[in-house]
Order: sequence, then structure tokens, then C-alpha cells
Amino acid sequence: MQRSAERSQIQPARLARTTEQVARALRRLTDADLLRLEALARLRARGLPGGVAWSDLLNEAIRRALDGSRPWPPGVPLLAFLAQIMRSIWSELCRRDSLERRQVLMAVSRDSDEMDPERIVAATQALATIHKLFTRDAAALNVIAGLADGRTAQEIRAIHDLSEAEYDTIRKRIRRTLLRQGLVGGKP
Amino acid sequence: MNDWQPVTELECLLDALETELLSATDEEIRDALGHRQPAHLAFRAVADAAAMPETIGWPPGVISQPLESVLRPREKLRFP
Repeated sequence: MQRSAERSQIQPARLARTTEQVARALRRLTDADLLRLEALARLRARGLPGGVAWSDLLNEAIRRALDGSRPWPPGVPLLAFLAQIMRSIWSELCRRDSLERRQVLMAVSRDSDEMDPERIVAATQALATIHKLFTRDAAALNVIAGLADGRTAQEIRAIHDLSEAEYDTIRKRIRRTLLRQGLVGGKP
Repeated sequence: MNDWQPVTELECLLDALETELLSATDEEIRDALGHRQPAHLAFRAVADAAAMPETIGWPPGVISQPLESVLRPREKLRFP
């Protein structure tokens, strides 16, 4: 079995240490941590191919952390580590969904990097959903647009003539909205 | 316009918002959510899996059947 073969390649001592550390850290998570984790999973699940809910994404991330298939790097907080795993899974799922469609359509070769219209539509819809959370906050939308363009905080502040304090206040509102509105709706 | 622009934008935005959520303080979470509890079903798996090594005597270094039964089957999620 493939998973058994994968496990046997991992050194037992390393696996035990990793598993024990992850399990201990998971047990120590506070309700606030769990809410943070839920918000992260719900955010990352937006725009995923059909059938994968945020709890599935989180579940798989925890499984990979516990079984050692994703070793926990020293110095990385547990939530950041789980967020990294969810990001990897998200990328895998997006790539695989795109590849499957292309294989079915047989329109382009496996290695092609040509445009996948459905993935673009899904990304556009996900962006619209996130933007919708901030429709009543023009300043937050400006920051969101800047972040989506890959701009740094300094660049966004310069473009919109924001002081550091103003920018931080907008970021707080973004976090608040993400927590309040981002934790509702979507697949469980 | 780059055809892939929405995909790239979404990736950048999710990464940035993820950083924001990770930096949210406990106080901000309390202010935003009050006494809201984490989603029960999703975190039952977290609690059970985390408790597994002690409560079931999970042998060190071995991912045993109990863990497999608590965490949902990978096949169900169509993960490779």
C-alpha cells in the first residue's frame, strides 16, 4: 500500500517526536486559537473545487501534521504550520482539478501551462466573494485590492496616502470582518 | 491583461489575509466573536486526534488504525 510504503521511509524516532509534538500542541490550542484556525480554513476553502469543505481542508491538514508527512519545522507556530499545509493542499487541489479538466477535454498536453478558463472563473468568483465582505468599507477594499496585486504595506500606504496608524486601523477592520463575516456560510 | 490574473490575485490575497488572521490577537477575536465557540464537528477530529496517543495507547512512531478511523478517509476527499 502506498501510504504504508511512505510511512516506512520515515524514521520512527523522527515520526514519534513529530507526532507527539503536534498532538501536544493541538491539545493546548485555546478556543481563540481554534476560532483562528476555523477562520483560516474557511478563508482558504473559498474558491476550492466542488466537494471540498473547509472542515475537509482542515481535517487533511491535521492528518498530515500528525502522521508526519509534513514535518513541523522548528520555530514555526502550530497555527502557521497548519496554515502552510492548508495552503499546499489548496494548491494541490486547484492544480489537480485544472489538470483533470484538461485531461478530460484533451485540449492541451499534461505539461502545458495554458489558461484554464474554469480555474479563472473560480478564482474570479472567490475574489468577488471576498470583496463582498468589504463592500461597505471603501478603504478596506483599497487595501484588499493592493494586497491582491501583491503590493507591500508601504506601497499601499503610499498609493492611498495612508499614515501607518490609518493603515493599521484598516487592517484591524479587515481582521474583524474576516472573523465576523468569514466564519459564516460556506460548506461546513 | 494576463489571463491568469484572477488566479494570481486570489493567491496573493489569500496569503495576505491569512497573515492577517494569524496576527489577530485574542482580544480582537473576543471583540469580533464574543462567546462564539469553534465549530464543533470540525474540532471533534482535532480533539480526538490530539488525545489519541495517550488515551488509546498509540504506539510511538506508528500511525495506527484508531487514528485512521477518527480522521476521515483520505479517499473520501479525493486526496492523492
